[in-house]
Amino acid sequence: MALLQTREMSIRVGDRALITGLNWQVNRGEFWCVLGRNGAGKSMLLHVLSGLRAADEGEVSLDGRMISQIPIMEQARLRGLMPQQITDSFSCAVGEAVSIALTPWRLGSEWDNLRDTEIIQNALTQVGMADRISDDITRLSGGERQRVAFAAMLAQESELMLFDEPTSHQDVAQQLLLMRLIRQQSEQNAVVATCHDINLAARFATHVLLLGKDYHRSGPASEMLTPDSLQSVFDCAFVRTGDTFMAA
Amino acid sequence: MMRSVSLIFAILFAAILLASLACGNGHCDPSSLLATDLWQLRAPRVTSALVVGALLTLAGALLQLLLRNPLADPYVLGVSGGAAAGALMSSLWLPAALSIFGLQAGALVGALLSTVMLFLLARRSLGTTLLPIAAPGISLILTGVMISAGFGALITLLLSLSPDAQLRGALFWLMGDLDVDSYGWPAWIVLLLTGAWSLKTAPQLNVLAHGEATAQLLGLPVRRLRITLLLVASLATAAAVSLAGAIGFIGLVVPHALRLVLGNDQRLLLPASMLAGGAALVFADLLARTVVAPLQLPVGVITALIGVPVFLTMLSGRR
Repeated sequence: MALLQTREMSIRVGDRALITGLNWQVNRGEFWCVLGRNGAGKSMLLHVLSGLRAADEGEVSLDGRMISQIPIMEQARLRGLMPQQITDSFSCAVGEAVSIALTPWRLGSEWDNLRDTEIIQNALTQVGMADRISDDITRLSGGERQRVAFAAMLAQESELMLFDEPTSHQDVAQQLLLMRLIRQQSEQNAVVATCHDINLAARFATHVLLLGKDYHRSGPASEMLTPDSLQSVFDCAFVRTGDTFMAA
Repeated sequence: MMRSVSLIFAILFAAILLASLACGNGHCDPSSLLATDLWQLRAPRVTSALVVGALLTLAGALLQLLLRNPLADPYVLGVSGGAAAGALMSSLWLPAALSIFGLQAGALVGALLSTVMLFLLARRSLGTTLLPIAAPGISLILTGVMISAGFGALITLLLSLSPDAQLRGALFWLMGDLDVDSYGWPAWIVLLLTGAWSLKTAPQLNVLAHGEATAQLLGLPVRRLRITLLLVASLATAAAVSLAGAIGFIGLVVPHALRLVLGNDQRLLLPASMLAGGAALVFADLLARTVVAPLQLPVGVITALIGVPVFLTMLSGRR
């Protein structure tokens, strides 16, 4: 059974239809990249898949059940979402910002739990932020803050991991690091990530969902990523050299 | 570090309480601690200051969290305006024999009324968790500011209708007045309830501090949590205001200063707020009773005179 399934799902903003009649399945072991123009509804799609927002039509089911029927705490164990932007109003240590991701499993009523500390440490080590565990999150750079949010996703250990532009604030080396980590996570879990970098998608994603102006296409990355299909989505010509695409 | 902070704090707390009980009428006399007068005159006042300070600081800390704004105070949502208007109306229109009782009851009714108004008007924003939330709680704050403005006009209207004989008392009350002759038991009960809720809910509040969407994604019932938070903070404010009038700055400055020392873990911050807020108001009241003795100042003047420079210093030093 597919971990995530949508049936005739539509998303609208006001009168504007963003996604119409999406029938789509995401299985464990798949890494989906969602590609589309600005305002195509990529973030909105992730919000609907995470249950933050209801679909305007159709159904979304997680693990065989309609998402609206799943108790909210159980949803939090099944899926996690790393948002595109994070606004911190209060200062807080990096380690504590990661520790809240354990909420679905055990709400932190114990003061210092060794097993939690180990999970947090491990997640931060993977994104290269272990030495910053007691720094204040409000003093981090955009890229560092994003990697802390990424570490929180790792700590949450949800089966469906939704990333909204996970590498948007990262330098080239960190982009590769995070994409590798996502790929690694997708071996056991299912991943849906929005992204703008077609070449990163071509290199790491197993599947691609293309959101065009009034259509969508989904399938294995190799079939979806062709100059023609990209041109129809982005409205500009693409040249393919080996495995890399360049907009022309 | 935390241990020495707690120790310093405990000593300070005890010293303030003792000094406040021993001092009055311009002189301090430790032997007066044993006099029976003390328990009739000074103890109710010190006890009331303690509970009012604790309630206002708790409310401030909770509202700062609800609005995700470290600069919010218990009055930002208009609860004190409602309380003041209610108190003034009851002191104007109820017979004099009922005046003390009427003032407090009027304040309580006014405070609860303004909370209900706020709740109905901002109902939608309490439930919103959609990303991105650039300015969290903004519609709640705007609603509260408007309610405050409305009550402000009503208060001015009532003051201009008041007979001169009552004007001075009313103005004192508006500035915050701890000249009470009861121990404030209803307020203590409210503190017990709201304090217990806060301690029990602190781990969830720690998650909510990271934003409504984050909290919902991590499985918390955000809407219910925020509504309860608003009600608890309003109840605490209403209890404080109806006992001692609108005492400003305690609920803003104390939690803000504590954040700088203790950090943002609500499990620590909320109980510390109650203790520190209580001690701070007892201290401010001690000053109000002694600096120009035998005259007494409204305690709200002291909290504002100390609170404004302290707050501005913290604000300009904010990194």
